[in-house]
Formats: sequence, C-alpha cells, structure tokens
Amino acid sequence: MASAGSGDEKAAAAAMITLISSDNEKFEVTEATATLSQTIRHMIEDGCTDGGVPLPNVTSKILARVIEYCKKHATAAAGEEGSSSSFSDAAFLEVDRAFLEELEEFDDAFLEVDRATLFDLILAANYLDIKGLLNLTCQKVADSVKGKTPEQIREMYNIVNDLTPEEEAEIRRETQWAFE
Amino acid sequence: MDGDDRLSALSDDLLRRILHFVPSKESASTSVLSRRWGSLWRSSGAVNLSVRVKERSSYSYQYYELSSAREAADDAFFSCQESFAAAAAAALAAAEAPVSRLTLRVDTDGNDSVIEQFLQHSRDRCTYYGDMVGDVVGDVLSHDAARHVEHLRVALVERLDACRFFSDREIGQNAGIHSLFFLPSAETLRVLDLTRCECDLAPPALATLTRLATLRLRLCSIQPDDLQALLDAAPDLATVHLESVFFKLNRNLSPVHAYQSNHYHQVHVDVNATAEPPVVGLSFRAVTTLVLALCGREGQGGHVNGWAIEVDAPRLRSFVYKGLLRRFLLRSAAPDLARVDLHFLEDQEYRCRRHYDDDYDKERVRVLFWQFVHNFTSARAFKLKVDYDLKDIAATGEARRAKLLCAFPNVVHLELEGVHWPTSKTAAVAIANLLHCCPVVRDLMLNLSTTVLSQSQKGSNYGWSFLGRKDKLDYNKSLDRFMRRTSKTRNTMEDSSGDGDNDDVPDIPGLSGRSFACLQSSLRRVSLQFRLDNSSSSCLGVRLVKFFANNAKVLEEMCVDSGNRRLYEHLKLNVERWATSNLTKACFQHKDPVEGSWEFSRIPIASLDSTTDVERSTTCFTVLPLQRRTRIDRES
Repeated sequence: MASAGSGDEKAAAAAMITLISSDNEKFEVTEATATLSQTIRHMIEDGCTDGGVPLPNVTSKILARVIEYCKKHATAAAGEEGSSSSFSDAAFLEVDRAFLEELEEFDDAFLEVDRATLFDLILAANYLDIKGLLNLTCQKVADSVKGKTPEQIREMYNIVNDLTPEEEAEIRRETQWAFE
Repeated sequence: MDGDDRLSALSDDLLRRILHFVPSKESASTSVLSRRWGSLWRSSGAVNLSVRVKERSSYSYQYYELSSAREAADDAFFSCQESFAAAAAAALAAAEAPVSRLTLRVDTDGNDSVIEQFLQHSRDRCTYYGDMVGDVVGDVLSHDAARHVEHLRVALVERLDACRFFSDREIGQNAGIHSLFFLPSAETLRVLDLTRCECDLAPPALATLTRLATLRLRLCSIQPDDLQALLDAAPDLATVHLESVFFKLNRNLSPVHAYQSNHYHQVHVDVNATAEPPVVGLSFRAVTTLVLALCGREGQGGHVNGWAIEVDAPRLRSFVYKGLLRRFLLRSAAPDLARVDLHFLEDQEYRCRRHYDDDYDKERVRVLFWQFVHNFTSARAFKLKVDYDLKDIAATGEARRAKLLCAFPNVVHLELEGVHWPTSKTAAVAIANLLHCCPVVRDLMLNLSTTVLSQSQKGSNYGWSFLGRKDKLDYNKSLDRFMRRTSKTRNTMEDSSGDGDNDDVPDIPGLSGRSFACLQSSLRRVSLQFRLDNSSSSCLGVRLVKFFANNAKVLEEMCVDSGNRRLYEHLKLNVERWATSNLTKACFQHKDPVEGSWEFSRIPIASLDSTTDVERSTTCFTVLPLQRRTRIDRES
C-alpha cells in the first residue's frame, strides 16, 4: 500500500488524529481516515480527541491493519465525493490511482490473513463501528462455511457439540430441508 | 489458542451478521452446531438461495431410446427442482426478522436451456418447448417474506458466463431466462442486481423506487424505454452497471421465443452504410457512477456504425465504457466527471477488412475515437485501452490534429494500453497526441504490446533460453545504436529549435523534438510496460524510456517492466547515459539493492537548457521495476 504523500499530510495537518492502541502505540491518521469509524467520528464531534484516542480493545498489530483499510477506503471515498477543495494535488493523485486500481482487489488481498487475525479484525471493526470492514470480514467467514456440513464447520472452528443426540435429531427433523 | 472456539465466542449480533451472508441451507444447519447457535439463523435477516443444476440432457440424450433411463434422468432433474422450491419456501417461512437481503442463484454446468427448464417446467409437463407452467423465481419473489427486501439479487448463471465478460464481444442476442414482471419491494429496495433476466417491468411496478441506490444488470435484456422508466422512478439512483445488457426493441416476447428469433436470424448490416445509426438515448439524472460494458442492441451487428449511444448524466463522476468505438454523446455537461475508463474493442469486420487497406474505414476509426474521448474533457484520471493498432487512432498531420484533437486540461493521471506493429512509426504519434492534449499530466502509464503476426510462427518454435539470448544480443545492438544516435539527436534538436515537424528524426518519429507542456512542468512519474520482441532491435518501449529520461524535466520516478528482468538491469545502467546525453547532467546517486531501484540526480546545464524553469535547479528521479508499487517520497 502506498504511503500517504507528503502533500496529503500538509493539507490535512490541522486535522490529524492520534489513535493509541492497547499496547500504547500511537498512530497519526487524517480525520478523513479516522472518521470511517463511527465510534471515532462521534468522539471527534464531542470534541474529546485531544491528547489522542485510546482504543483499549485494539492491539497495535490489528490497529495498523484497520488503519490500512481505512486509508484506502477514505481515499476512494474522497474520489467519489470529488471534494477537491480539501485535497492537495498529491492526495488527489492517490485518489485517482485508487480509482483506477480496483478497490475489490485491495479488499481481497487485505483479507489474506489467518483466522485469528480475521476474528480480531471483526471485533475491532465492530468496536470501532466501521461498517464496510465489518461486512467484509463477516462475509469472509460466511464464505468459509459455504457448502460445508455441520460436522465440517464444527471441525473448522473447534465448535464443541453440547447437544444430546436426541436434541440434534429433533432439530434435524424440524428443518429437514437444510440437511438434504 | 488454536483450540479456541472464537466463532461461537462472538456476540449474537455478530453471528447474525455472519449468517446474513451464508446460504440458507448452511445457515439453517448451524442450528445443530451447538446449543449456542440455536435458532440465531432465523433472525439473520437474509435468505440466500442457491442451487446447482445438473445438465439434464447429458445423461438422457445418449440413451434417449431407453425410456427408463430418460425417466430416471427426468426424475432426478425434477426432484432437484422440487426440493429446491420446497427449501426456498421453508427458508422464507422460517425468517423471524424482516428479510432485508434476498439472493437467488441458479448455476448450471450446462447451457441456459437447462436453467430455463429448471425454472419453468414441471414434472407433469416437461415438453421441451412447451409453455412455461412453473415459475420458481416468481414464487420466491412473490413470497410474503420478500415484501421488505432491500438487497435483491437474482443470478442465473450458465457454464460459460464466467468467461463471457472477458470474451470482449458485445452481446448479440437476448440472454434473459427469467422474465421479471414485478419487483417484490419497490419501497424498500436499495440494491437491485440481476443476471440473465428479461426485464419487462411494467411502469406501475416502478412507481416508487425511492430508495434504490444501486442497479446492476448483467446479461439482461430490456427495452430502452423500460430502462428509462426504471431510471426515472429512482430519484436517488447513484450507481448503475450495465454489463452485456441487450437493448431489445419489443416487449413481452417469451424468452424461448426471443432466443430462437435472435439466434437464427443473423441481421446483416452494410458496414459502409452512410445512414445515421439508430440511437439508444438514456438519461441518468442522479447517477454518479456509470458502467456500460459490452452492451448490444437488437438488430445491429457488432460493427462501429451499428448504433449510437447518447447519455444524459449531469452528476456523473466516474464512467466506464467497454465496447466498440461508436458514436457517443454526453448530451449535457457533466462538470464533476473526474474518472473515465474507456476500453475500445476492435470491430471484427474491420479486422477482416484491414488488409484491404480501406482508407475510409481507417479514417472513421480515428474520427470516432477522438469524437468519443472529446466528451470527457473534464476528466482528471483517464484510462484508455485500445484494441486497435495505435496508429489507427493517431492524428497525423497538422490538418487532422487541428480537426480532431481536444484539450484535457485537468488530466493528472493518464493510462494508455494498446498494441502496435513493431515496425510502425505512427504508433508514437498517438502517444504524442495524448501528451499534447494533456498539458498537466503528472502520472503517465503506458502499456504497449506488439502485434507480430508474421513472426509468430517462427517465434513459437524458438526455445525460451534462445529467445533470452537473442533479446540480449538485440538489446546490446540497440544500445549501440542509441549511443551512436545520441550526438545526432542533439544536433537535430538544436537545429529544429522549437516547433518544426520532426517526423523523420530517427529516435521516435512524432515524439522526439516536439515540445510538450507536461514534460516541462508536470510529468513526475512514468510507468512503462512493454515486451521487447525478438523481431525488432529498436523496441518502442526502450526508446520511450530514453525519451522520458531525456525530456521529462521534473521526472521523479520511472517504473519499467520490459517483461525481462535482465533487460531491466541494462536499462538502469544506461538511463544515466541517456539522461546525460541531453540538456542535463545526470549523476548516479544511489542504488537500493532491496528495492532494485536506482536514483539519479540531474543538474540542468543552463547554457544548453535555457527553457527550463530554474526554480528546480536540481531534480532527481528513480528508475525501478514496475511491479514494485512502493512509492518513494523524496520531496522535503
């Protein structure tokens, strides 16, 4: 992923937000990037972001990934809205490139993570209320159970079956169409 | 850690959100995973139906005489159909929360008639071309639970559909299988996504599509008037994708009927017909993103003059077109239109006729191309892919340039992908035309490939290693030639002093010796992709590397993909010499072995270079392989 150009930082210098991960690492991001998170948007609106935004539920490793996602999508969104006034040329160049390289390709590559990271991303996206990232990650889990039997799903996700054989048989009878 | 059940540990809301995207069968079957899962699936707010239909004829035709085998095949086919219909009804009935997402996907290994039989025939009446008696899709859409759907997708997909979009052919016949007469939830619908539907939506059904934001039609057929009614009924429609949409002239043909009539009556149109082509005009009032790809119109063969498109989209911001060069008109200004991606396919008939040297056709391609792009003078990012030979779009000669070229005063990112004959001198003129038209371009990407029809036979017999050696030999030869030319070039450039027509300068006819505003002050980054072919020792790509190293005064980065790593190594070594040879003194600054990038600094020599703006007294640029997309920020 391309780093934000220096012009980007210049133009948005007044609107930088500091995010602080659970392990106390600080991340400087533009407001446009940060406000993809509804949670942070509300904090900015309430004016309580001075001195940084502590995110005790998100590790630095996950936060870095989340910011990577937000940067890319904020850039693309800026292109969608065509808000030329608030962007420097360098930032716009990134926007234009972002449009030309497909966003879906970025998303696909972004989701190439191990399962533990995927769940961490789901929890972070939920906590930070980033709808796009939440749907993306949930869809990824949904895709993984496509065409799988309950037994296969249990094995894949270490789910312990605590139903009695009778209970399970009863459920299977009730929704027989799902097991044909 | 690995043994943890992290999935079940998620909150109910998150599990529902996951189940929202899971096919209904698997979703319902999660109820037996464990107590935790219970009946969560019933409140996922989605019903996702999908079925894969086996080709019925594949095992019945062969033994067609054996009625028992045929009966067995029919039985299996209709059992599949009945159990799908029953499961669909059960899934819809089981929904405890309002269903906001309804998707229905029917795949087949066979062709579209398999899906048609699956959707419309029944066990009792399974004549192959009989009237439709069943309506699997209609039954789902008219279910009570579908009345508040926001996201509706119906996808009927046959075996070849996956590669259809890459086939680069405009659609020539009706591909719709299901006839869609109504929408289940006009008031709540936000996303409508249809594949292989024939849309005969009567206007009353469209009275209120107040929330529709996204419309995606693929391999669908629709009357232009009906599409317009749909567009007009959706005041907030922002995104429209029309991919392989077939514009039909009449409504209410049954799919079987339309399939037959279009399939068997090929319409022949005189390529040289001078009559005005018929126009499909569409108005997209609120649309900001529009994709028109591989669409076709009934009764028109696939050639450049088949039919014209007129679009009214005053709020358009990004536009994608893939199809033949044709008359295209943006009826009203679209001042926010910033991103344009055009891919022009080569007309099949034209390809056959090219060898007859038909000047009239060639001129038409050129004129159509420039008339088409003329609609997008407000673009900031412009991506062009041309399947024609680049020389076919080149505006050569002053008169042509004056008539055809237009300025794109805002384009900062320009991308051109095209083919050219290895020996063609005119391809570079097309590049020169575009550089001339884009005075403030900062970021230029050129992706060039050569058509080597005559050499292909020979080339395919050569071993790769031999090719590699030959590449290298040719390359060295070409370098020698460059070096010998260097002094000559400088002389020519000094002699020409400005705007002279230097088409016979040996470096790059059409480019060398011209002055371009973008080279003087804006072009910061050049990406070049090309293949050094074995037939030519003066590959256009290599010459372009040299040209930009020489002439782009504020260049910061040059990315090169020559399809051959070793060539790239050679290129790096010689960029320094090229840059030194002309106007500026370049010194090798820094090699980064990890990035594989080489950095050069240039000190313009004032006496030679009186035109350069002296405010940037020292510039530097980096040469690196194209595939590494990392940007290096050097500006302080």
